[in-house]
Amino acid sequence: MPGFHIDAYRELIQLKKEGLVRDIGVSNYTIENIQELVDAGVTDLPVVNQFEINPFLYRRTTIEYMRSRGIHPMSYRGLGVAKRLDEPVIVELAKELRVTPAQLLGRWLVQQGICHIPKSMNRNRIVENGGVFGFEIPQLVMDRMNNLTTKESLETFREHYLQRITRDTDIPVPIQLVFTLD
Amino acid sequence: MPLLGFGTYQIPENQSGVDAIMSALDAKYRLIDCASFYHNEKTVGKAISQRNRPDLFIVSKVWNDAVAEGPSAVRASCMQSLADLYVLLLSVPSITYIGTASTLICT
Repeated sequence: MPGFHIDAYRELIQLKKEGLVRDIGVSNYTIENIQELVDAGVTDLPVVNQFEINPFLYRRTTIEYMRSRGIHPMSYRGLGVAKRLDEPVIVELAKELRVTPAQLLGRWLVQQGICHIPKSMNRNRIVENGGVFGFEIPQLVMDRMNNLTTKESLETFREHYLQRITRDTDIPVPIQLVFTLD
Repeated sequence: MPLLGFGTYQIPENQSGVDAIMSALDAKYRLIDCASFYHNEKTVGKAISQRNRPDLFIVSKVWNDAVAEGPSAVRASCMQSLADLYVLLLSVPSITYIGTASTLICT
């Protein structure tokens, strides 16, 4: 949301000073959004940035940048959308490790220090999804999972991202505005 | 910062929603991810007030519409979330993150 978020952020800093919020986080910020805050003179940077992270949308450049700024990555859609739990490679690897696909995908996140926030209305599923601490994914398996993000999936994400910016703001996105979306 | 939290998008604003959140708290989830936009923060507030969990992190979000409206709308949104989540009323020292939703969270 170009232009608006810096004023909003400053208001959150004020709320924090008043003791009404403990910490400030952001969501869906790109590297450039964080840099806008820095350029605006903000020194109290967010402690967390929540955005989609799963093996099928693994934006390493962004994750590493956030970490270099001391910003914890938090994942939404950690289990992917719709059919990711049925992806043959996930089913196969989960079987190998004797866990469920949801636990494998969750463990992939928490093992690299990324907060995972799965949702379910089903008590058994809630317990299953939360079972991400009792085992370790071997490095070779991590490597395989780390390489499931294709150029095509990043390109699809880029298209969605740019469409939504335009839709949400009424402000035409300047052509020179470049976002790092990997 | 906890590594396991419970997402509440589409959790209904009723007793089954309260039950789901309590199940997550009982299953040792240490963070609840909320947003004004999910229209269920009162349900989250009900659930967390029934469990004594001093280690709990509560995350809420100011949505894009408030961000676009300006700082006073951002403040109003935060105050509403804090009230709905009972964060100010709870004796447990819950931690509140408020994120400004940017660009594409409003799907």
